[in-house]
Amino acid sequence: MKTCHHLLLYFALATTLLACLDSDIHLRPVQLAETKIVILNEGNYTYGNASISVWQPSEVLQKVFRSQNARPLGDVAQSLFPFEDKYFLVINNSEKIEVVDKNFKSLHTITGLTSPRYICQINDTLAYVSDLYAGAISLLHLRNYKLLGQIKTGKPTEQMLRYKHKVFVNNWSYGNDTVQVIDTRNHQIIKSLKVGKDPSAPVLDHLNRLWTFGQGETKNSTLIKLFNPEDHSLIQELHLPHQHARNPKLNPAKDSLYYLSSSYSSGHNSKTYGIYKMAIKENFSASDFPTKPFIQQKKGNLFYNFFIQNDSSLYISDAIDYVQNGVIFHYLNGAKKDSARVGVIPQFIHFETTQ
Amino acid sequence: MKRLLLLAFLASPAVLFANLQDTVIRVKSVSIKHKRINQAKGFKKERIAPEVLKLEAHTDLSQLISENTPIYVKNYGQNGISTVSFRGTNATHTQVNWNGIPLNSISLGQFDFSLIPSFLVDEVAISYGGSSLEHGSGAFGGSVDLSNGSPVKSGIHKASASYGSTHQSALFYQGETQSGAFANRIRVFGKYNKNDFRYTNKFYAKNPITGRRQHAAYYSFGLMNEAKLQLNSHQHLLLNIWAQQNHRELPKSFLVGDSREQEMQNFNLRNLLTHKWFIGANKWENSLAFLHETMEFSSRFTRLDKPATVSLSHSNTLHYKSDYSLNDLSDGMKIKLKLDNKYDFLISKTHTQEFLSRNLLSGALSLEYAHLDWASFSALLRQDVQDQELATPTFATGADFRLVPARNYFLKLNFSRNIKRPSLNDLYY
Repeated sequence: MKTCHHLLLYFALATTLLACLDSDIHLRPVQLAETKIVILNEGNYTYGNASISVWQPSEVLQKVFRSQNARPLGDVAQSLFPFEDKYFLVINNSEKIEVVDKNFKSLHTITGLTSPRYICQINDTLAYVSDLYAGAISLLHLRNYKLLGQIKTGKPTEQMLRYKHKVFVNNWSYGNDTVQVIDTRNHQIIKSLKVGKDPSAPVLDHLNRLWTFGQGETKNSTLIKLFNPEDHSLIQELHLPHQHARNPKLNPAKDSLYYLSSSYSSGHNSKTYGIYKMAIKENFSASDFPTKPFIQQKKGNLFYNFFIQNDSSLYISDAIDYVQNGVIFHYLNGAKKDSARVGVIPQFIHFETTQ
Repeated sequence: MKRLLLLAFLASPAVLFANLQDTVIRVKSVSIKHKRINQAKGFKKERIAPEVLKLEAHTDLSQLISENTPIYVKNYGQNGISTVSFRGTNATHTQVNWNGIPLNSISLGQFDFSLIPSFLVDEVAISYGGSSLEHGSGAFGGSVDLSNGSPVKSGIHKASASYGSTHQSALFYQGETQSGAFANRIRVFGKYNKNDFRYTNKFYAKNPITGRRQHAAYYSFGLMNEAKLQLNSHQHLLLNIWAQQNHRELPKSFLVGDSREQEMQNFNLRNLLTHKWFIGANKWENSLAFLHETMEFSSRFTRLDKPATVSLSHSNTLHYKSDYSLNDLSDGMKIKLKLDNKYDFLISKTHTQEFLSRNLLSGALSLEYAHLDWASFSALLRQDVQDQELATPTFATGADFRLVPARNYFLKLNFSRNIKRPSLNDLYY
């Protein structure tokens, strides 16, 4: 009888303890809307806590990949590349690309990469995968997920911009100051453009000029160089008086340029930190640059990246302190409209719309 | 006749036992002695039994402390560092002393317990809270005091070896010699573990991946030599030389990947020369220590083809220490005077070469009174001067009260104030 009592007590305790387990273990598959905003949360480097948040009209869903696949996403979610009815999730420090359907159900895992960063589609079947440490760009077959070969770059490669039969890729980090030009017909590097130190993603404006931002040039200024993408000639050189001006982005009409200027460290703030906006003109002088941010970074915020949805709508990711869950702010015409708490270090946003 | 034989048979055990009872078995005399734990009144200090230390000679200090004390040992996984924390304080609030000389890294402020085999030390004592002030300020949590006994025996040689799965192996040797007034003990060890176990990873990709763990090897080898010269019946000289090289490959988490990534190397050279002088109740110790550490962290990330040095630093400490104690100032009263001068200098070659240094002068006076049967008291006052700047004085006081006469029920009270200086990393990186 006594043994029976002990057993009952044991089962009661075990049931109580199981009921108290972290709800993460019981993550259930979720239903996703067709129109949604997908946020890639980088997570902390080497912690393996990258995640995906989905902001849909009725709710914000967290750890969506894990819910759908019962396994974690990996370490450092870098970028998302939409291709037909799939997403290619580039997981940088896990050295892999997860191929998922639009409900984030895993279809395939591409391994054998060193430190993948971004994907740039070349044609219906081929894409380039940039890499921070491989010293090469990988050629990826978009339909059978096979790695077909490499283009040796000898430098870290980041964001890529396709223009006709060329791809412009910035060689960011470790003091690199070049943008390499690759001919997509033979996958050869045909030119290396000397730009400012630690260049951000190149962008192409409505006047067909290639903008390069050298954010690491000096402590308080950023070197901008404008090139002709056809003959690679230098059109103009400008010194932007803003610290770490980076992540240049264009509106859909490509006649307004946005960029972020702030410190990378949390806890620092200045009235000059924030998202800047400027109209693109044919000729620039120093006085044409904005002196005040379009959206100022407030105390306690750490603007990490931003994405333009359309001419009036802008989303900013806030890493706060790189430790706690971050926030996405939605701005309409420069005024804050909404916000959502997401995962750790939100850094990439994809807008999924129904056609 | 049959009866006689039966009687003889039955009586034989009695005869045998009778013979046994008459036999005198001489057992060799055994003397059990150990120095008393130097525990100030009102403070908590405990020691890991020497028998345990001998049994666990093959383990590292983190495992030894974790298994034999209530202190929290934080282990950062395969080939990662292990640190010790007391009652919620962090690793930099734990001071590690080797024969009274602080070993905490001058740049990080903490100590990696995973690198030291228990085989290298003869005594491990734990001082909680304010009692750590005896060896210096800054240890809010407490201190771990490692010490080596003097070599006294001759012709003692011990060796042991082990081999296990994942290609792990270890070899330890200890030898002691004595000739006249000179005695020497040498300890040598080498440890290696390839850590190449087989695994199935179900969480990395859509389909499970099987393989062998890569890039998780570890090796460590070291030598400690302790020489003693008995100058006369009142004084002797001790010279301890401890050199150790560690190499660790730092693997990624299985959730992250399994490729070659980072590795770390440390080389430590610790030299300690001590002069001890005893006469009557007086004891005076003068020590001069030189500690050197080269730490190199490499990663394939800075160069695209092969691992390159990301961080290289040379930490050095020159430490002079003088301790005087008088155990019989008056009935049951002890007095101790301590003086420390510690000069730290760091040469860092991470990006550009940098030289950082600081000088710490510290003096302490402690009194202990244990004459009364029902109570005993102790007090310690310490003053630090860092780079000619006077720091806030620190102190520790404690009292023991016997609650029931002739019974060991005590009430212990202690109160202390401590200060913590930031490490060089805290200040400059």
